[in-house]
Amino acid sequence: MSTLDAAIRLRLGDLDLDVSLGADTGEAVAVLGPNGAGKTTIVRALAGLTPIDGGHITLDGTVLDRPDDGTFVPSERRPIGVVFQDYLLFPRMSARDNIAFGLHSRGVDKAAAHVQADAWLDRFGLADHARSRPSALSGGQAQRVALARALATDPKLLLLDEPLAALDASTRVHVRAELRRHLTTFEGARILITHDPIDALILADRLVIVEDGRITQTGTAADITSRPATRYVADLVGINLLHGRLDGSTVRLDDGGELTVAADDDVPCGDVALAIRPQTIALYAERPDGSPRNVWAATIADLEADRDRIRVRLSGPIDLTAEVTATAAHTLDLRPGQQVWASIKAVDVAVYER
Amino acid sequence: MRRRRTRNRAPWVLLPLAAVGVAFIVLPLVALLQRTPWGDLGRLLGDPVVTDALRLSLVSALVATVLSLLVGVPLAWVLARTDFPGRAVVRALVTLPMVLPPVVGGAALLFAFGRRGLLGEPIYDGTGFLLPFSLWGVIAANTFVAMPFLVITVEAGLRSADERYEDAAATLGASRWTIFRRITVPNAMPAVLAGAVLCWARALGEFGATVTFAGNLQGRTQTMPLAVFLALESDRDAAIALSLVLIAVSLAVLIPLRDRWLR
Repeated sequence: MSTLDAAIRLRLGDLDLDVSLGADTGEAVAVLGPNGAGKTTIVRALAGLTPIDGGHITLDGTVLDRPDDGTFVPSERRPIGVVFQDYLLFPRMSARDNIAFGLHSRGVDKAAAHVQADAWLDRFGLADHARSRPSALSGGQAQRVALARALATDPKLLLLDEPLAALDASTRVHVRAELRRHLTTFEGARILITHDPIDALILADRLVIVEDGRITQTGTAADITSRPATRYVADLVGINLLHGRLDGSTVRLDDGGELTVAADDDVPCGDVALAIRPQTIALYAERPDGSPRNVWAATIADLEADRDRIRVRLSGPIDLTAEVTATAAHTLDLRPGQQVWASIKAVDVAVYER
Repeated sequence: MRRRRTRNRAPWVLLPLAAVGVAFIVLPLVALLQRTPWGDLGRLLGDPVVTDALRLSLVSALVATVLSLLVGVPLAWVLARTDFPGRAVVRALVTLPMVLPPVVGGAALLFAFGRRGLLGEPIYDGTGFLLPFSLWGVIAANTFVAMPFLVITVEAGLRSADERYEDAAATLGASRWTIFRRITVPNAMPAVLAGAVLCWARALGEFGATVTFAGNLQGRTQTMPLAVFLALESDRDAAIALSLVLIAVSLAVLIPLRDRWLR
């Protein structure tokens, strides 16, 4: 049985949105697309903040919005939790009051709401910040408060709108791993809105690509990365996806070969997946000096030009796609069958649990 | 060398103009101080005419501000957040008392609430209550003239507030009333306080509507501006003393609040 079943048709200014979305209990679906594709409007429609013009939104068999028969359940009565972009923590309330707000609004008395809020703070490692105002929290802490606030009302569906976009690159990796861990404890369906393919790959089971108000591709991460349907998907999700076993800071790949990754305590040893952006793989004619730990000799299997960039498919020992500028390709005189040296920095390999 | 000017250094032409602006406001105050009969000040300020007027002014301006908050904040919310036919007309009508000569406002209040007024007559016939020429009349005149200052300030504050916080509250199950009370008003609090200060300041200085609608009865409806005007005719020293009190009270409120809320 599908938990969420939605067909959203909505016109808003220049946006003409027409998408169908579903998510099962326990499933995480990422909606991935460029800015202006209508992603945030999807969140607003599901949350009841923007009524749809046509179609339907059904959650656990209950119709929430269906213009044909005039059904519309307002936001405050939908069992849907939302983690907003920028989190939107109430600036004049403490972390505890932010989390207690939803409970209190749904009729839990103040004392009980505070007890439950404290339990959430504890669970998310924020016990010391109960009295902190949002302005005193770090990005990662604010995100956890926002997540706790959304989950505290026990929703059936959790919507996350760009939950990592507000973070700087240095904390992003850590917070992403943490978010993944906290999300696995949530049993309902999850819809994650993002423009970052790595977020989508790490946090979701299934991807839905939205471009200009329409779905252009859906499938698992492996489906989409191996067979991108549009130029946008290829550019954005044309990411190398590898599987292997993590041991310390080394990943032994299932298809042979090894890669060193930046050790991260949030990912336990065992089966992992790796995501590598093609742009982060550097190619050299000679063995490079310096200390990149991942250096290997590869053979060029194939070249594919796209305007000023060249996608280079490398074979053995690790099958990967690299992307270089046309100028670089010309300088290196790249051609199929030629041997090159490939290297990638450990920090450019995103690791996550499988 | 103009291109090397940093952003925070004023273009030279602004400084003399700003100085003229300040001087224009300060000079009359200096002239007032220069004419002040400092020796007689104690006796003049102890006069019941002064103490009565001061008490009436403070009470009526404060009550008018509270009443303005009570209806002005909801009105500002409706104007800022809802769309209805004729909203442009309502917005114009609400700000009309700022443009209208207060005397006209006072006369209009009389036609509405006077003994023969549109609403005043049935109220008087039914209950015997008469709004004009009473303290409530003063308060009504003050509110009529001062409330628009609160409404436009709060409306602007609500328009510039980030409505997504209200969306977030709705997804957490908050009713519209809870959202208004716990999210909207606290987020707009700087504007509400700024509006209240402006409203209070305008009510304190109110003259025309008050004298027309509430009269000039010492101890009942004679506020500071009315007492000053009357004293200018008879006892110039008393008028100056009253003015000094009005200035002192105004500055005592405005100096601490101006920097914090009226930005």
